[in-house]
Amino acid sequence: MKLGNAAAIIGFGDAYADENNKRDPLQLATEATAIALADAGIEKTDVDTLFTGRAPWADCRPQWNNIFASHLQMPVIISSEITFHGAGVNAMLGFAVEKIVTGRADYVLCVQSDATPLFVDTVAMGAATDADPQFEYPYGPTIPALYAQWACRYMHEFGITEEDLAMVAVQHQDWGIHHPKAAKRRFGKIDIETVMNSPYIASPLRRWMCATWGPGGTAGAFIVASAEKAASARAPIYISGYGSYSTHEYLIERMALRNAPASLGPLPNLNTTGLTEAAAQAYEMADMRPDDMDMVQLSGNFAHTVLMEMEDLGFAKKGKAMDLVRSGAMEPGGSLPVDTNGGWLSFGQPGISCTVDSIVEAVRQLRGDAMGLAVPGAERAIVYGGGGMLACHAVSILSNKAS
Amino acid sequence: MTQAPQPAIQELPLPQVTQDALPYWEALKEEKLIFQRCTSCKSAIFPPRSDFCPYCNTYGQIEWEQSTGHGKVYSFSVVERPPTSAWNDRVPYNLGFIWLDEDWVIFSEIRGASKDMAIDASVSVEYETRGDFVLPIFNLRT
Ligand SMILES: [Zn+2]
Repeated sequence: MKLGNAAAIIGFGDAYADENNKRDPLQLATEATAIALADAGIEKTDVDTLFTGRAPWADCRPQWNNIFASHLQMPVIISSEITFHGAGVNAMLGFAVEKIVTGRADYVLCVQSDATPLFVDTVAMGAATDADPQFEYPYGPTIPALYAQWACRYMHEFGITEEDLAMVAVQHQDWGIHHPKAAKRRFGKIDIETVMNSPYIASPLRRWMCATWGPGGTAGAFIVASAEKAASARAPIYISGYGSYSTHEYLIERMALRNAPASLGPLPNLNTTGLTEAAAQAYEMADMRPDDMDMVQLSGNFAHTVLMEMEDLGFAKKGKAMDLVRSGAMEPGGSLPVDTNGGWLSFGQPGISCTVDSIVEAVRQLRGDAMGLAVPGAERAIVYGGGGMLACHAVSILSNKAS
Repeated sequence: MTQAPQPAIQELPLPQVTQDALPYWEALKEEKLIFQRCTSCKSAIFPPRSDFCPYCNTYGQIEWEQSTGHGKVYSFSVVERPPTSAWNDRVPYNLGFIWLDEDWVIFSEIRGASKDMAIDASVSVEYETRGDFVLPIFNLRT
């Protein structure tokens, strides 16, 4: 269905933590929610539905969604974690829209926070959670080593070089140095040589081609409500379309996958993801095309995933996103700004909330309230939340104009 | 990295075994690499399943078959920064997907000089004892 202007984010808040201002996920989510409620001009008692992504890594208690509602003493019709990896953090906006358009909710609070670098020993955590504990983990993989399998094939099949991946990292840093919360801001401007001189983490991925931890903690909270309520809001951001798709859990299962839509290409492959399907749903629902987007926020945890995601979102043919990078379109001042807070590569990953940071950046840009470099005149943004081993995908198209 | 020193082997992780895969791990103790095949659609199946073929959706037609242990490298990465200190003595080590001759795919360590690692390089299985388990690993065939 075409969504039109059925629902919008009518209130928004974000919160940040670092070593000098150590705050845990519960505190961060509470702060962001308080700001969002005030921004929407409503009380917590008006909220009747709560969605979160999966529990923060820095506070892994089961039923975190309900822990948070209880912490606020905020009884709701339903609260739920949307848990297909980090994609759930983006997909919660779509679930909120469905609650609004069916009339089952008046105000849906979508919130996510995390503060992994401040509270968790991050060295061993990643691979232990995302590698197959039977057929992968015994061999000693890390998250970069698993993502490197995609990089190995992608580079081989499309003639992409390490210097190409380095250019992706350089452009992300060009955005990140302007954002006050970006984890890699302190390193300043870099060049391709900087990236190529950084050590391999897992070949072909060097340190600067991998997302960093940090900032210490982040949170984003969004109040979703109907078009009528949006009409009186200060700066509503319409959710014009959304989509999602999931193809596997462990990477070994992705290699075994044969039953999948044609948009994934001939299987097995490690060059195309279910994002193709999620994006198609979102464009169809919004009645828009990639050309209609003024801005893109990705889940680019490695330099090569930035390229694959741009292709799967429809901005370049398969294997050709590097042409877009070389053209300068994605850089500050370019025609298609991408990851305008520095993305996961330079802004960093505070944990599961990295997926909400992408939404925060889009909302701030569309409201003319960027913390870093502003994209003047941007009206439409596509935001991608990915999770697992390029397994789970959710897309939201946001607009500051009623269409 | 052909002769990396062996760390205390019990520090390395052991597989968390599923019931579907019990025959696989039992066969490895006799240095046999086995996988499943659907007798209906003839597809090779791995990781192991119960009796439902994911490719043709028939039930009760899955049998175990022994692999030659020969295949080609589909993708690989040389790990320089390991997940835990238990792996420190082994870095760098090569991890990748191997496409076996019977048309199934396994994830494993690929032993051989990192500079010789390449897509489509030929590999063959060998076995490493770890605790009560035997893991299949692969060597570059030169
Ligand atoms: Zn079959």
